[in-house]
Amino acid sequence: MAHCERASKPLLQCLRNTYSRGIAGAQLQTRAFQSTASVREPEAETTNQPFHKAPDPSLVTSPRLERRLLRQGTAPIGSRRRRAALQDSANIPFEQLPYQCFQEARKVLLADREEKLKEIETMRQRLARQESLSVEEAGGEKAKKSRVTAMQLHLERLKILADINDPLVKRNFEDGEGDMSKPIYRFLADRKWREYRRKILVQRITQMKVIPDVLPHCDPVVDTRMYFGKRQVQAGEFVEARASTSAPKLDIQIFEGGEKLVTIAIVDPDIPNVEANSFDYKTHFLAVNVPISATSTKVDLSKLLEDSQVVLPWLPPVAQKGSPYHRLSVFIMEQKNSRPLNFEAIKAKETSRDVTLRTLQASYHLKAIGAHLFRTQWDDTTLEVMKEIGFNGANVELRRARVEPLPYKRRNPSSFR
Amino acid sequence: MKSLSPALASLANVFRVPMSMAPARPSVSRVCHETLNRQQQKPGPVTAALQSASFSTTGAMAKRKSGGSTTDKRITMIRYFLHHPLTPRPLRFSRNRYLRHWTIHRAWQLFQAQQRRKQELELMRQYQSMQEACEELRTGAGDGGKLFRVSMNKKGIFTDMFPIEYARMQTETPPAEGWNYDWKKPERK
Amino acid sequence: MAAREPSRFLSRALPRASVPSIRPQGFLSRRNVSDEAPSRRLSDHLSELESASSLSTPVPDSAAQSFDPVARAKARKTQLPRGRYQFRSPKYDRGPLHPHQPPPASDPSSRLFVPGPFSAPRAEQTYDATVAADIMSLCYVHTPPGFTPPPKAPRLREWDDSSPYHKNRVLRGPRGGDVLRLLRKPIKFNNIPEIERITIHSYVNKAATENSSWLHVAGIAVQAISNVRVETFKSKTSVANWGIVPGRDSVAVKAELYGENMYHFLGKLVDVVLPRIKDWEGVKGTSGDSSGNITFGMEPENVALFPEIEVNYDMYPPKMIPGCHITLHTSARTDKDARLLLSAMGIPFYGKIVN
Repeated sequence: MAHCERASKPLLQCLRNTYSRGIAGAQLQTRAFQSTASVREPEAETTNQPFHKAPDPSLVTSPRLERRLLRQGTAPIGSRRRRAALQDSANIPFEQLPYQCFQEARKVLLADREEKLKEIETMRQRLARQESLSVEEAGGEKAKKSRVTAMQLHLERLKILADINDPLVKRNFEDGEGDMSKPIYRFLADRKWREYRRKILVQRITQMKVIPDVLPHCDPVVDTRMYFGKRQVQAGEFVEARASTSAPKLDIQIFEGGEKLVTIAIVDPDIPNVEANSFDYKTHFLAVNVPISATSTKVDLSKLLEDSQVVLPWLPPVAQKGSPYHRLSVFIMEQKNSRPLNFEAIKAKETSRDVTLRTLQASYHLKAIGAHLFRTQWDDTTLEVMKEIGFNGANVELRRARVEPLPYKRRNPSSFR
Repeated sequence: MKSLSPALASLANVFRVPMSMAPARPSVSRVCHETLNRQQQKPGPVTAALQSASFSTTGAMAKRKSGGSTTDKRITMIRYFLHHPLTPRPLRFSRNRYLRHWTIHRAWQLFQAQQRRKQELELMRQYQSMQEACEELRTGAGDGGKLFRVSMNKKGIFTDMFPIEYARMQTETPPAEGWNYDWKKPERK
Repeated sequence: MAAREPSRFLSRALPRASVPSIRPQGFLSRRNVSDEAPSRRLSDHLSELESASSLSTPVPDSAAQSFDPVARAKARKTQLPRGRYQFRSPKYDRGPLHPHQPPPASDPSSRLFVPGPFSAPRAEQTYDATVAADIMSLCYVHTPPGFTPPPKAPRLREWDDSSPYHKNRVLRGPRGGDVLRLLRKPIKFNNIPEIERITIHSYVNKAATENSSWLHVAGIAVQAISNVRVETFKSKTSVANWGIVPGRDSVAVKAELYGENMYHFLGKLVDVVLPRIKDWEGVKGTSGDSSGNITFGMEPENVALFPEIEVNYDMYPPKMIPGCHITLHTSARTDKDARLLLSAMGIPFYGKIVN
């Protein structure tokens, strides 16, 4: 598992490489890159040049030729050991390797897969029959709906079960070549996300008390990554004020089929309120009707449409000197039934940045499906950013209000006199 | 006559095993030994101590009155094997080999699950046919359920425990006389 | 491979400039959620499966003939260069949030990986083939369809509201002792009693009074007969005449057997060891914890009858071979059912049977 992920890292590197060289680089290869995979196109074109003139990046082993390749901008593929082994290999595709036990195992798995395909067919027919029934025949609206939902879930489950035992699917997923429009890869990605990244995210948003402070509850089901410029921000990381002057980019991976419309809100619950000696909320960004799906995941908050999506444009977060760190919490909220919200009405109504997210959630029937978090504090660049955005109170340094000690803790209370 | 290999011969000499077959010509080790023995004709004090130690089964340290461990050799060996650290080492496979292993593992798990399912379905089938038979006896026999009541009576069968004669593990080679028809239940004292 | 449509990871691997903007920036009024589409054709469903499944490709017979990795390796003039870094499973558990997580136990790179099972134990096969079905038919009680048994009185008693403090108080335990026995359900095809695990436990008092060698010999003897690594335990109670202080001395070893090991052990016990014990009548009928677990003890000279110890008897100091307690944990809810199962597996019981 894990060691194969690491093993796939060089593969990913070389993938990056093949792409940058473009198609012309592929002509040099006498062997396909994935020599062990099943899908291989025989490459008719062979080069007449000797090997040392035009070394093949998937076969080169001598350090001198490797260095020369690197100078040309081509990284050799895989480990040196792998390349040396490939030089005299028969290149039998992985699934045809004639190991007896392996082939017997493949037969068992194939029989199971065919059975699953048959089950999918029968299940589909039953589902179609159930859907074609009228409400009276099915015994009520509720009964019909629950039955259809159960059948759909079972059908999705069968699709996963049909593919989950395939070594090629596993290999593709580990290489990061999974096609997210297929249920099996979505299932695997979801499982992997829940194994580690989701745990970390939930730990951060609960430990830093975003969950009871901003929203009462959130069960993240989508994987969210955030980038300021090119740099990825881990959940809960401190971000410099200069870096966060432009809106972040989000990478929202959902693990269900279909497309969803979501509302994205970035809320800061830590704006100091000196009069009330407490903290206020401030919405730094609000956009509605953002379409995401399993295959299109990138959302650049600065490139969302002004006239139909962005309700409150990006306001760079700044922390006043002396104030405790600000938790900028990002929430991805699903709109009810994936229906678009009325943008004009919202734009007209939500002009204030002080409305709490709980209010928005209740009034527009939103459901939080993803969360992220970063923090800001006073740093060297904050003052410039404050001047740029015209923040009033840039020259103020906040102090904690002096807490009067309780009477019995006072050193010299009046009752002593 | 076959001569022993030099290593074996020297071992036999050390452990004082009588060699039945005398080597046809003197082997190198034997010659060495003889020379060594000849040299030891006039032992100094140290060599004498060594020689006496090789005759005795007690260790030199154990023979001394105070110091030295008296631990049984077997316990030392047991401790060695009990605390040997290298017993379960994680395996390392190349990627393809790992994937093959994974495929076989998945197939084996799948096969086992199918076997379990089959076994369970078989038991379910047996249970349901028992149920149907009893129901048929109760309602369809036409004797007012008398047969059913008699059949439900659990007298004369193993209710508490099976007799020990029942409990025989399956064998690949069962006896020709498979069943003892003359067997009677033994009288308890 | 690269000719396919770029995936998520792939597009991240590419330089950012060369990635086309995947997400259409336009706003679509109609969403086609897959769940909303009414009834779809089979080809729609099948297109969601992996198209290039490696399972369905046939294997030519010629592949096996020409395949000779050993000869290829031997034909190599020089050795292959060393491989690069390989994953090592972490030695210690650092919690679920540590970035270095151990692989699952079924993974060969895991430290917990145990290959196998490599055998089909006789005891297990006997159970599956005959014992399970026999017990099911022996315990069969007919309930006509539509019959519901009369409701029983609640096992926990209410408080008689004689005092105002009885309100919201937890219910009283059963009359005559506060032990709440397990409920026995009628035995059907899905709850036939079976052996879940076997525990071998050995308390060695000499380990505290003399030296640790007693514990070591006991440990390796238990390991030898059970094929399972033993755990050691410190004493929980103080025993004055042996000078045992709680929490100071390791005095006991225990091995827990599951699955293949368990059935092999049971087979050895029933076929080899128990029949050779002299003047042994069987397990006492009073044994059992009234929830389906039966315990019996074995004397040191009987432990020495196990074939693993017997063939190697000279390697154990004869005085130090331990006695042990063997607990057979079954999935039965009462001792009676457990005894029914164990007697079918070949363990004799004697004396007054107490259920």
